[in-house]
Amino acid sequence: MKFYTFDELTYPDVPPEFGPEVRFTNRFCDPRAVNKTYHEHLDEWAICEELGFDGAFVNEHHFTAINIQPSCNITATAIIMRTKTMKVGVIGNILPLRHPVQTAEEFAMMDCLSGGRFIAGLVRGVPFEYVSYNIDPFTSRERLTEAYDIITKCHNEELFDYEGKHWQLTGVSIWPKPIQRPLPFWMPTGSLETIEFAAQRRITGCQVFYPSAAFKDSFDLYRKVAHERFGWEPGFDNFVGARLLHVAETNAKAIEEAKEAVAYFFRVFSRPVNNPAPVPGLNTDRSFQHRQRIEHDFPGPHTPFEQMREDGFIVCGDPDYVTRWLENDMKVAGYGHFMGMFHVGNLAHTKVMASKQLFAKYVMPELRPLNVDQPAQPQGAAASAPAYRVRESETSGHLPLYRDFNYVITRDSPEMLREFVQSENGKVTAGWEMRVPEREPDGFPYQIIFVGPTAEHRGSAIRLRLTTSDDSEVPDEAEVRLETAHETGAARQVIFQGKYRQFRKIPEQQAPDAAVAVQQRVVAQDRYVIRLAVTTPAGTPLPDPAAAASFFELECFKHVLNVTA
Amino acid sequence: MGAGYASQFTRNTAKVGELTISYLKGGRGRPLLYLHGLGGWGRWESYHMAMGITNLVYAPQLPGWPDGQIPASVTSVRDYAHLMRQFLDAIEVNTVDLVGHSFGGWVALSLSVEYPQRIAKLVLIDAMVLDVPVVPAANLEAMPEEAFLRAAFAQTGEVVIRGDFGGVREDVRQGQEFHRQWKSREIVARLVRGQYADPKLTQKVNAIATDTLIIWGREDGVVSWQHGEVLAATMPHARLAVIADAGHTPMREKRETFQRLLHNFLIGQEEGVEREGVGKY
Repeated sequence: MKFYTFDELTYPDVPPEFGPEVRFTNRFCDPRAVNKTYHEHLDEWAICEELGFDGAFVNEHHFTAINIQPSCNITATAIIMRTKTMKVGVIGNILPLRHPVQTAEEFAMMDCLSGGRFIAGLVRGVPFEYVSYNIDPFTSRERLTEAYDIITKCHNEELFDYEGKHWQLTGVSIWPKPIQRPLPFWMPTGSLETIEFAAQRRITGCQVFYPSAAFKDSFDLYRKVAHERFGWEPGFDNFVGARLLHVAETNAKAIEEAKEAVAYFFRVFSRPVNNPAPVPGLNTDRSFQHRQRIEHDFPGPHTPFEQMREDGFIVCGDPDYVTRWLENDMKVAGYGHFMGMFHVGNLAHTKVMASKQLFAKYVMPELRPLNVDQPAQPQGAAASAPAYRVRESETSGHLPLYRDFNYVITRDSPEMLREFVQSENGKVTAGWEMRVPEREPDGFPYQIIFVGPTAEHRGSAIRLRLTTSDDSEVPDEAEVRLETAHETGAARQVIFQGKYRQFRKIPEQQAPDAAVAVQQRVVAQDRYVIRLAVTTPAGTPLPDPAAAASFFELECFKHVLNVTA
Repeated sequence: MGAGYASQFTRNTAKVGELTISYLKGGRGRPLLYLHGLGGWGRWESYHMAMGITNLVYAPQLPGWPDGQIPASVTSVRDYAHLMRQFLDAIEVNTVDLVGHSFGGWVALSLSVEYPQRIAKLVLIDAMVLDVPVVPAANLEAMPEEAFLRAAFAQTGEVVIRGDFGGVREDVRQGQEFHRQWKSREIVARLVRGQYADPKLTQKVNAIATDTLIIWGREDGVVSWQHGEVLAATMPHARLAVIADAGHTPMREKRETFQRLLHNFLIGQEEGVEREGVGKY
């Protein structure tokens, strides 16, 4: 068994004269009290590493005093910075309400910050979040599925486009990417549809609040679906049980303290929009048919505390009681990760710390040996997740040309300065000169980048034909030189140097990957002159760069420096 | 389209002649008129929210409900149809998507025959009206309480009503919904005076060219699903969805299936409707 701490992070100071009969707007929120409770919670999470817990989890909700972490990635980051070895996770981000790319980016950041200790998590959100965000709940599963697909693409692909119903994205390649590959994912799995979603993707399933039998119903269905539909056998490690928990020296003390804290929890379990009708569209009529005693899922306002304690809505007592209760729960439900929700409602910080100490000292060691998978068991998402996929590239011996060029300089380009034919010692040099201007027509300076060869390509293409006065081409042994220098003549760099033969022997220079390539990466900045020159041996016909049949094409990357202050 | 618009509603009244009609209004989009049946007035239910995601929903309480004081000016179902046309005039709404359940379905059919130009889409749910001699609608007046319970509900005894979190058990016979329907039964019985079908209107439904979805609970003992089958076969642009394990109020007994069928029809995307428990005829 592995142990984690997990809290809703409930706002503790709603005045006692208010209950769920009022709209719980933020008029009850004192930001100073929030500051205090944030720091108390951080201490409660950080101490878990010393106490031997395996990790800490946080989650997010909106518009409620029950949970004041509208972005739990911020709290998770704070825990990451307070710890060194234990796992830190979110369970999770409300994907239908978030931008999936930003979520993927934040997950990757947290994994990098933690050195690969992060566990990602996803949830669909609760009904009133759909109300106040004004999202169509009938689309919640579609949105969740698309968002998860996008997040896993962000983490596993170098560069991708996405065309979905709710999201259309182009050119996505996130920085940073996560250390762990694949990144582990956990999620609550209550409804049939969510179980199917998680089992297909080998996402670790979590249950919270419900009795042992309800946990078992859900985990059994997950196992069945995984086996029958997706051909794999989940182990203990694929399941998480989470429970409100309070340990004290005696049962009586634990009950007394927890009772008050649970009463607070239900008093502030409300929201700014009060409409008693269930929000439509989030589930189906078969979503919960696998549960045997659904009426005990979640306590009502009149459920006696003893009933909640018996059903495990809250497990509270002395270490012996808690050990025995959880041992039975773990054996019945069959999960391999336990999350204790120690900070119940407005329970005092000192009591939470004491409860954790007692749990770590007396309860954890007793339960450690339970529900441990054999090493051969598949470990969550690791078994099926795809390896990191680099962008498609040629693997054969013949490398392709550089493909991501966005500009081609030709005789008709605005950079064109002149054609020239010069004679020296009987040799004739002819060709074209171009100049990179100070500004492009839109007013921004730019660079012309000739892309040199890399492990993935040969470089950007150069195409050339130079005819002569007798309507043939310059001879094979003519020298071809492409170079650039500042207009003053400084900083001269050769981009390509070779024989005309290299161009002439290509039957069709426009054919894919047929052209001659640049030999090194050269950047021509503004006020640079680019010169493509062909020098013919003495006594050969005169080259004619102005002839209609003469042409050149220089594929390159035009880098517009449109940085605004 | 969002749950936010759909969850907010207001209580309003409109003056129609001498009558004051109270109605709920919520959601956003094309106007939609929801006509309640034996149950379903005066409360903003989950299915009102489902319609409010796509439509601006007007849900009037038919005069006579719930106290049984039917106005003197209303002596027939057709009068209710005229009243609803006047109601639309009063709230300055011209064309609507029209949804009618049970007795409200009868009013909706009458409205559709008389004012087809004002109806864009039509949804009929376990609607009374048809004259189908082999499976006539139940004679509500003659029904004892136990028989009515079994006719109206597929599941009697203790059932679990799911909320946003968990569920609560309720004995259907003791529940509020049963009592509302049992009381409504008297109002309808008094109005129709033993005539639970309208042969004249039955002859005219084939003229309703409106795009129509018909939803029925397979276990409905008040009006058999076979009435839905006849309607679907008679109306030129209608299709039928029968929901298993649901009685006269499928919006209650198979809430999620019902709402998804309705939602998908209103947004014009009927592909992908969950097929389990739903038969199409």
